[in-house]
Amino acid sequence: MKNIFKKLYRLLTSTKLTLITLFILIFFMFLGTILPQGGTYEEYKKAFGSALYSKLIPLGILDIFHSWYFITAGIILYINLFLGVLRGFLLEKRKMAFLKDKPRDAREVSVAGGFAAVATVLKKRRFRYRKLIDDKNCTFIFSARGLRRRYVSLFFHFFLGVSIIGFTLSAMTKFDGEIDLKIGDKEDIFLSSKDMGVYQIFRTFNPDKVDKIELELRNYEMEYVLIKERYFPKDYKSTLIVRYNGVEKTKLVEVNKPLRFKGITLYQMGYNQVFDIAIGDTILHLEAGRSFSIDGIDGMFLIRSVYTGKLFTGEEVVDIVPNTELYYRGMDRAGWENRAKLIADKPATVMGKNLILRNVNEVSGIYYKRDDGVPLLYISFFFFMAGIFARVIFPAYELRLFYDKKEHVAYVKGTGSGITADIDHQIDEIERMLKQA
Amino acid sequence: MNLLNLELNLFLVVVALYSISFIFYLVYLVFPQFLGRGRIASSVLTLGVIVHIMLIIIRIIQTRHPPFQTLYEALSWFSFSVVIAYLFVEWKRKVRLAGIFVTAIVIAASLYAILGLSSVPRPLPPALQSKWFAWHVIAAFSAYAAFVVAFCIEIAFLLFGSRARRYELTESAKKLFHRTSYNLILLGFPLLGYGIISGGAWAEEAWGVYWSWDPKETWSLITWLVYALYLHAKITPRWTTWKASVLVILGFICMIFTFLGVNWITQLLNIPSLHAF
Repeated sequence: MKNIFKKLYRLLTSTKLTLITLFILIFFMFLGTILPQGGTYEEYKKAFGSALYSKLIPLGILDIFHSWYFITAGIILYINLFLGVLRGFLLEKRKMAFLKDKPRDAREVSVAGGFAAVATVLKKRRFRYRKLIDDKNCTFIFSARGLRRRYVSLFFHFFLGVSIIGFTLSAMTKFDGEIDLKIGDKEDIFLSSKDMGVYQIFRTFNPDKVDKIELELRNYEMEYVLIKERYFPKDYKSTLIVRYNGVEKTKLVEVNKPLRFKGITLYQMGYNQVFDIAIGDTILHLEAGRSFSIDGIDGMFLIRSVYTGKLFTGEEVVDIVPNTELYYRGMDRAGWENRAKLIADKPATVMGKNLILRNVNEVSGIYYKRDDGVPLLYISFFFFMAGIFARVIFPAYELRLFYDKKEHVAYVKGTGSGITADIDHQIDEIERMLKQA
Repeated sequence: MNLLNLELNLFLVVVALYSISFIFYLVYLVFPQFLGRGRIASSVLTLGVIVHIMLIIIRIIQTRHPPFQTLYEALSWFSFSVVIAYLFVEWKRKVRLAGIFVTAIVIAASLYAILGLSSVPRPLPPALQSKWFAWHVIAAFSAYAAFVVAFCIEIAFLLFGSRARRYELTESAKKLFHRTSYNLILLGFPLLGYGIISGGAWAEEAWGVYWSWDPKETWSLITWLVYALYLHAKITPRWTTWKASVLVILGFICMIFTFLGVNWITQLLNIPSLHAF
């Protein structure tokens, strides 16, 4: 039994396991990018056919990043990395037992000043003793300078572990949704949901105890720039009123500037327009991006986007008269062709019909989310990166020195880590100073 | 002459200087004793990078934002970063054997930008108007530059390491090859890590999703993991030899795929990607 644990420990701390699990993860990630992930049944049926699809589904490779084997490989890798670093400490202690041996391929330096000179030089070179064994004939020193790299390795691998807790917390608390608001629209957002992992697992969701906030779109601004006769969105932003327990807050939300309130974050996700097209007495209530038909004309029409808001042209800012392009696709289902430019409240003749664009309203697309794991992820990755940068940038040296008391000769060998570390230079300097001492 | 024409002409001058430098590095490889033992090649490359700095300044004046929005701008910045990284390494280590590979890569990248892509400046879309934009891209491209130079050094060592005497390489200089490429990867690894994490933080701020297994995200993680594999392998004595060189080459292939291949594969397989450009 003891042997099994020993073998398991060796396996879990081996670099070989690190390499194998890394290879496995890389292979699955590669598969995940060439096979479409998280698609619908219809899409897969079209791509692979029903027979192949039914064979692929049980393997989990169509949702590879959430498959049990991908997550297991990731967890094994983390356990291996963390135990490997811990093992490094134990090995270092064991390594100390071999200090009594003269290091192989060491630099040989004659020391006229005796061991006192060695001690002085090491002190001057800012090497601190980690272990000193004084024998009758010789003295062994294991010393180090700079960063304690094993502690730093443990530090950033630990925070990698904290990030896994962050991801778990994320999976337990995350829920999200999208709402479309016109100016003046109001909508309630609940502060928790039955979709949250924690409720899914423990089934303790109580809809009567769920708190909510009220959201109202006070204003929406759309800004464009014109390049080669085409409108490019420069910015779009919503002024939202958020109400909770009688407290009211007004806040501007735009892309890259979300609003965080009571654990919920509100993002400016997108935009759209709703509008009317009048054809004689008939009025069509339409939404940009959705195709529509007109009585008496075969084929379909489409308005991709209606341009409203402000146009920035160099130093000038002008109000845009709502306008758009009307696309038409015939029964042969060839591509969409631009048929007419529609300007608000101005009639345009299209295929013998008089069309008028009216009542254009912008719709602000708001995405809301609760995810309690994010702060922990920020903290863990901050310290993870700080640890890695420290490990990489600051030099760390370890030096083994064997001093022969009879011959007055020192044998010096060392290692350096970090991009600025130069162990040969350190040993050169020690040699020079020992000769002078 | 408008600024765009001036910029394009300067870009042609940059490519010409990089090409001359490439020829001089080639001459150095064949006849090491000529042309100041490769010093002239380095000087021409330095001149090229000075003109490249002017080119980047002109681009910033035109666009009024950091010059890595479009693929054209990204390739120009990539070439610039790689040359800067290489010149620094060459100055520190005094070894010029990798110069020919570095110049070949930057010439290919620059020509692709000039001949294959539109140079018309575009305004920054709202999602890119973020404090993360510059730092995320600079970190990622600095990592790319470190990886490209490390790859070129490994290739140079594999091809010319055995003819050390011809290029007056001492034993310690040969040792420096591996040490240099290791140090470059050691530097590039956290930079790419920062690039990935800052990208996640940015996506969280812009769209509320810090990680979506987008092909670009996944491939940048693959690249990072391959280099993690290399750094962990270097601890294992059996992996310090040619196997480590193979991992450096594999890492480079993954990096190029992350930078350019992902755009191609997302278009080919019609995979939605936030990073396709």
